[in-house]
Amino acid sequence: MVDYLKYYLPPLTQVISLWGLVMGGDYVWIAIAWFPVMTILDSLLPLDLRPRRMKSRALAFVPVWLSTLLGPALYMAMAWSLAHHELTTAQIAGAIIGTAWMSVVPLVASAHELYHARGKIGKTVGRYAQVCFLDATRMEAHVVGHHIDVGTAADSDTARRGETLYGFAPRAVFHSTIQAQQFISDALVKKGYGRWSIRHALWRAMLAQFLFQSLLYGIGGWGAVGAALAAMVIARFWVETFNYFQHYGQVRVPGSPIEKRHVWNHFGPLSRLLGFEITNHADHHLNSYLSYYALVPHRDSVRLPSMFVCFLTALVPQIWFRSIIKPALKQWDTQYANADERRLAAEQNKQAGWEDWFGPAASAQATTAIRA
Amino acid sequence: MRSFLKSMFGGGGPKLAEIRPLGVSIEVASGQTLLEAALAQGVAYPHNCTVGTCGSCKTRLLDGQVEAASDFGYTLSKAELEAGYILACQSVPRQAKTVVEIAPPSADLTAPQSFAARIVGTEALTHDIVKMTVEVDRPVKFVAGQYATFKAPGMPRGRNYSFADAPVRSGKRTLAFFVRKVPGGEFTEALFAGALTGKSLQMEAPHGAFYLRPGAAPMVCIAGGSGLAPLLSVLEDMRMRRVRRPCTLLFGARTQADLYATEQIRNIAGSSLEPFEFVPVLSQEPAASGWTGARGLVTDFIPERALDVPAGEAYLCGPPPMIDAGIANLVERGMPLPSIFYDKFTDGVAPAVDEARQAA
Repeated sequence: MVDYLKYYLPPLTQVISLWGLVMGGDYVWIAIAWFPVMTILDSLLPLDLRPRRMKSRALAFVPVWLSTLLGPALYMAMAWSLAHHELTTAQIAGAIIGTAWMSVVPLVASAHELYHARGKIGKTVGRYAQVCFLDATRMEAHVVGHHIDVGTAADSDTARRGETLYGFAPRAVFHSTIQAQQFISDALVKKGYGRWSIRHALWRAMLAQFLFQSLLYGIGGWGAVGAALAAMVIARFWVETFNYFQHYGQVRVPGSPIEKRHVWNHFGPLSRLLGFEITNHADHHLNSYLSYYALVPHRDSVRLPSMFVCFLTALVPQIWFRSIIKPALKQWDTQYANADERRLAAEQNKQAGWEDWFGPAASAQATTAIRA
Repeated sequence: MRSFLKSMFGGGGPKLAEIRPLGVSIEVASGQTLLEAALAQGVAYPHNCTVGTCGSCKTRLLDGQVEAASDFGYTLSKAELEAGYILACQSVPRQAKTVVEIAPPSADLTAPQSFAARIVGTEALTHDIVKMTVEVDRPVKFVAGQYATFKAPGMPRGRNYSFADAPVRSGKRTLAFFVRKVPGGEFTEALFAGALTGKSLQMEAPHGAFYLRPGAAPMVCIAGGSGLAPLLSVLEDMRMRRVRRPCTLLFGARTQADLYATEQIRNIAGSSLEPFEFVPVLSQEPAASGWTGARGLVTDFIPERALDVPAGEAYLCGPPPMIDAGIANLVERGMPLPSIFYDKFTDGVAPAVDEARQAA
């Protein structure tokens, strides 16, 4: 039972943040305050490598639904707050950044859980809750693209070695958005419809965005619409930063089997809870049909710090490279990668101008194999 | 209205699904997909991504109706959709009884086409076998076990080499082949000397009828020399699609120096969901060496349990004498000829025969 209760932490953070927005004043800072609080706690607490003892899918999905529905509710609370309180410029900024953060953690993860499930209503709600970060066609990019291309150049979520967060995030936003529309168009053509037929999910996504913004306008006027759009744009880029450290520098030969080593995991207890196990990553990619609570942590893997710490360090590329990802990649390359992956890794390291941790023989072999 | 509500909320009782050619029937609980139900009931259903993207669980719907949790059109082609194919991982049965047939690898056979190819790398696997990496002008679709024919400028006769990697649905532009050096062989001498690297070649693919047959029967694979390539392609493809079949792989070589890809084979063995036995057999290893493994002719090491007559299947690739000896051994021990599939690799000296592969 304790395991079921733990997953009420994400909706609890949302409810308290929503209360803060409704209260106005400096309470609006509560939403973003979760970020440093969770960063510290997740770093201090011991890693959580235990599988969950949860059997009831219905019970397990209650907090997932709550978190997904609370995502748009926070935007409504912000709109109401802007209309009913005399917030200072700093407080408005705090409300925007806090709402953006709540759109990322936990909304991205809860929506992800719903659209991966097979129920029609869950899929639909999961899809359209993503209006909160302007990406209601994310499901296609994620499921049809990312899940098959992970660790290769074709994957919009995998950053190349040497790429900074500032280069990756805009590229990933652009790439994943375009890719999703292409997937949908291609599927329509196969069924005999036009590439931009009225059945294209993009039109429904735009309609959902328009209706949601109309609702926010009704609650808080143009100010609320502007603030919501600002939060959504921030959130859209913020979402990609999580892909940055969930997949950074991973290599896989296109077409080769996806295995547990091909993603990074974050086993901080709060990373797992607030992400609805999205950071219990390896098993999700291997057995994607399993619900979040059935995923088993991949113990024999490179350990990365808390996902919150990864995000903060990624903001300063030198620290990210030196202290976090290069040591992790060096361990991955030398202990987990197969021969073909070592060659791809050596090539990327060379292109990134990184030190050669394979030694001259491996590098020469890599050059022969790939460039010859 | 009632059926609409049921479809939205996953209501309704359990349904039955008959899965061919496995010959099993399973119960599919409300809201479950075919694949979920099959895996939960221990049925060896091929699958990989489980999100409707890779096509590993491609299935033909023979009777009944299913609802697509995610559009099949993201992955299946127009022709496949029109032919009644579905993806088991995204199919929720809607009627009391559904009959499906797991698509065999042969369902993905395509007619050969001509490609512009370029050798971009060679890597020594042994003293006389290289892995040749080729890039082609557009994605090549093939079935694991098939081969390609290469023509180099000034060499009118084509050379056939089997794909050494597993295929992907969307096709591959970078392809790997294992090539054995044939003394005096025009193509392989030039390849080993590096004279073909970067040169334009003409490639025609895919060819051949050597591929995995459907079913869950135990299999014995026998490879000799560069004949390991198509079997690695088949075994990697099985690993990727999580095909569950007990397997024994016998790999014949002359000495320890002639063994290669053993790390890859051990990875395949380690991730196999059914018993997988790898037996390297050396025919000319010096008696004084430290080799503690099998010695002799590879075809003499077919274990009894790998045969499982009459259900078992055999897949053989390598030089003709090895294939002939293997077939004779298998037939003598009760395996029917239709259960034996082979691909003979010749060196271009002997006259070409059906299914034969020219290695030089």
